[in-house]
Amino acid sequence: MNHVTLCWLRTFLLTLIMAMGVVPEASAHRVNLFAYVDGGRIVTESWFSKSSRVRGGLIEVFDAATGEKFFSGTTDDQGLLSFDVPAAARAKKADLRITLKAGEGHANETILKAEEYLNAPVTTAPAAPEPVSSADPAKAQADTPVAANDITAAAPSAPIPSPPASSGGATGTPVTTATPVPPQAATPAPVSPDPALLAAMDKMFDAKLAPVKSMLAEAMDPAPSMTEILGGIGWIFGLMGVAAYFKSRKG
Amino acid sequence: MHISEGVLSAPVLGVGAVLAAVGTAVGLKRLDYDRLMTVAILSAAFFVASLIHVPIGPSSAHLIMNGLLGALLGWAAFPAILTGLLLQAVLFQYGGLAVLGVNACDMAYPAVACFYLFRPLLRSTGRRRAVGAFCCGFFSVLFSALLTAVALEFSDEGFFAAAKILVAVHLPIMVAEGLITAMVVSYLAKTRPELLWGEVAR
Repeated sequence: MNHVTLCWLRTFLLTLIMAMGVVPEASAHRVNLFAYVDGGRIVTESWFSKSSRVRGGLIEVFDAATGEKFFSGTTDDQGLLSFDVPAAARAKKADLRITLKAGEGHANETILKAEEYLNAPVTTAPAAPEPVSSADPAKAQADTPVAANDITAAAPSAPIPSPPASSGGATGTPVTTATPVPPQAATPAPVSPDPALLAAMDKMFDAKLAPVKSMLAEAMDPAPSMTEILGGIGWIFGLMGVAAYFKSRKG
Repeated sequence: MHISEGVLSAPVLGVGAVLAAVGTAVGLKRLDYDRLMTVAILSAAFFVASLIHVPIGPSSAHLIMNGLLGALLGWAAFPAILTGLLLQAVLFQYGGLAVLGVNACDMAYPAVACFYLFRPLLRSTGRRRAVGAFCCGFFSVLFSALLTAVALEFSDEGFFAAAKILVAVHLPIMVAEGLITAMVVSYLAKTRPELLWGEVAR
């Protein structure tokens, strides 16, 4: 038995080593779905693995609470599908359950919180692509307004530091300088931003965030790690030990 | 070939679970104390085989190795495959816990069926044995594809649409597994014949 076992172990370890070599390529039994808000649209990406996208997969959008169907469509050759936030969903402020059916028993789904699309400015400011899996919707909620504020405030706030310094020098009372500053700072703020500037920034953000988006999408597709593979094998041998123990007590 | 969660209806899942329980019970009953180590090693091989991805065709296909388990273990392949699938579901998120029964039936029953179908060939020697082993590997995958399509028949996909794609995608896998099974069985027959006939002799 011992010799046989050793022989088996050798064969098995060889197979295992071969398997390790191909692990990075091998994560295609599961289909992945990633959805985010971009401008006023919802973008979904679907893929089996890095090199294999879901073509013609069926995407359906439901109300997460009631199950009412808002939208359905199929993915393109890149596994992408984008659509306007359904008006009915916007009216109801509904969380969206987005499901993907990729055929042959492959399916997945994800939840898109209402705050994510309600807070995303429809046409102007760049919406930060918020990963659906983010466990912290409050943070995502906070992000978008901050980004929008920065755009409006960035240009006017730059000259602020110098006027208070000069006005403070003129009056000669350093104590009071603090009070005039807030009204001065507040007055230039309401100036409405140039739409062309916003469009340019929109483009720039898209370009800058594209790699981040793809990194996030990839991070959501964890290929089985060595820990999990070895852990699984350990489990099998552990279970075998338990079985052997009980069989030996019976016998 | 793993069916995801949320595709099948509750009755299909229920039938799958019951059939898997029956198969596992029979497998455990037939499992011989001396062969426990072999079963565990082959279960581990099945668990790892799903990571070996064969990059042919448009969809996802990976080695399954149910034919090899069937040829070497007979009914004992059932608990081995169930264990492998359970760990794949928990650790890799392939398939899922609710569909575990259906997936186990899809992969283990063909293995057991092939064992009985090709037993006369497996028992003989030389080329005939290699052919038997090849058939075990080849037809186990084919039957698994068809059984998966049967399970999908009861979802909104339909048997023929699913079967056509599943069989087409798994053709290279069938050939690969046929060859692997033939190689392993021939090798073991020469070096460790007692491993092969453990189940058959009973």
